[in-house]
Amino acid sequence: MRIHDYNSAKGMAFQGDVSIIPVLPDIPVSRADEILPTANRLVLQEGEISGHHHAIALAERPMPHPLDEPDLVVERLISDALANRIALPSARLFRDPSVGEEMRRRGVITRVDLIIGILVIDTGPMCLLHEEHDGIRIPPGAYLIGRQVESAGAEERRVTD
Amino acid sequence: MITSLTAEQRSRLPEFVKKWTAIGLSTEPADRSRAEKAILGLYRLAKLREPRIIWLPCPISAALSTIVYAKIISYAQIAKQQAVGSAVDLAIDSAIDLAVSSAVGSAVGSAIDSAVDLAIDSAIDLAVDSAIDLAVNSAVGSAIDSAVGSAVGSAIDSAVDLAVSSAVGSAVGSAIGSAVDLAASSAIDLAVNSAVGSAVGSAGNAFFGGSLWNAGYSAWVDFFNEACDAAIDRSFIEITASAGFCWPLDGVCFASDRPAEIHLDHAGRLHRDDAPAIVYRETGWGLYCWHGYRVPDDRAWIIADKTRITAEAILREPNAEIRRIMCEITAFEPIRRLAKTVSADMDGNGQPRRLLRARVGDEDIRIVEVVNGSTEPDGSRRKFLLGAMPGRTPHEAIAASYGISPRHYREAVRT
Repeated sequence: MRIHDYNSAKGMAFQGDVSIIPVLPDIPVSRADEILPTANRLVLQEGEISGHHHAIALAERPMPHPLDEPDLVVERLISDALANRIALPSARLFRDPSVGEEMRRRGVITRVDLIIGILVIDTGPMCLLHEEHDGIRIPPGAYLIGRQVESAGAEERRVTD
Repeated sequence: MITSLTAEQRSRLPEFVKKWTAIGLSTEPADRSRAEKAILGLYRLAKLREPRIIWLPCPISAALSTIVYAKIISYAQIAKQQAVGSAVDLAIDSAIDLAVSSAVGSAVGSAIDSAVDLAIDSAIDLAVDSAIDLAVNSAVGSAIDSAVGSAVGSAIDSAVDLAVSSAVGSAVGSAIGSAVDLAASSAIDLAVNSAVGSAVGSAGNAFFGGSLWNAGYSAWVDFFNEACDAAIDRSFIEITASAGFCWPLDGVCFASDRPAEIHLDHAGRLHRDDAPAIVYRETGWGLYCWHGYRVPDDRAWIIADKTRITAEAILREPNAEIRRIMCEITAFEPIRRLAKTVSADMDGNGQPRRLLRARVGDEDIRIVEVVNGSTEPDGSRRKFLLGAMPGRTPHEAIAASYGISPRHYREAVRT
């Protein structure tokens, strides 16, 4: 799996059926209602059949280098660990309906029922990983995390994997 | 205290990755005498009485044996308790009966689950983790864990471990479900049943070890023990090196064999295009997988009997991944024969997207065909078909599927 850099000034990010939409900078995000990580992973969405997760591993430091040279990665991990350069967890997920409502009012999104939560990265970047999709290195900022739906005849259903 | 690694120790890292990857993917029959010695060692470490070791050919038969065993033991203990109750006072109040029953249930639950599982867990923690903590600076430990453990783990985990453990998990779940339903029809009251159900459930899920599950962790332990001379009890990793999943109970341990066949694709993912990708001896239990995706049993026919895959079957499949696999298995032929392109454009990666229309039975179906943002190990990209949301172009239909205004929808990254 490769890791792709995401520049939020250039638009939105998508990892399969999960969308990452930058929250407009003047919209405040309340941190009162937090969706907590489980086992040091911030799971944004879980596959229904596959059990695959869109998740940010909090205990692992952000991955600043492409994983192209395993030996080099081992060396870096060891030297970073010895120099105490392992990053602290910095990604958090909140519920704040007012953010989605405001983003809809401003015409960025058309509906609020697909919002999973608001991802806030204070220090980063942090990597969003998935077993079947390349990772996305997300810079500090606030993002609406949303899911995808598809049409099923007269109804709609969540896109599932 | 180890605070840094010598050049020689570092140079041995690849050796441990190679060794434990081979162990993790081993299809040799379990080395029973080595495994039994290790299991007894682990029980001794946990200060538990020596168990009788019962071998089963696959994880599912071992899990089900554990459930049946735990159920029998649970009911025997409850029956004993109730017999005492009747002798003392035949007119026992039903409220008290309920309370006693629940208490017995939980006591049985703890006896089966907590006492044994916890004892073994803490023995492992004490013997292995603390030994490493004592001997090794924890930052170095976690770096090695990531480096060696995840290198092996990713070779095994993504390929096999998750598939097997989730299959076992769901089979255990449904077995427990029906066991509890059956019991509910008996004369024993519901409170006891649910207590037994949860005790049995805990027992069924209380598995550990085995080549598929613990190779990454064992590589980590082995590295510190072998390469860094940290004093660590090797019982746990010896089990990983010699057997499949094990279920440790009080006085008995159900141990399972390793797989007979593991079929991987060129990228190391579980894959076989006409039969289960992982198969166990004797029972023949196995898992169907398509390039790493575990196809659930009720959809296994898409691999075992491809002739049943029609355009209608593809379009009626509610799961997008299964639908994609059905298309890949048939090289998109059924859809290609039926669907016509309405509109086409490009996604943020410069990949083509199409809005299609197909007539299936009496229905007109609109489909949007998209290309995965991530490439496969061979450089190809997967294609997905999604039921198209409203829109005149693929761009509009895709934006609508995420609830984003088409005017603002812009893909900076798609993977």
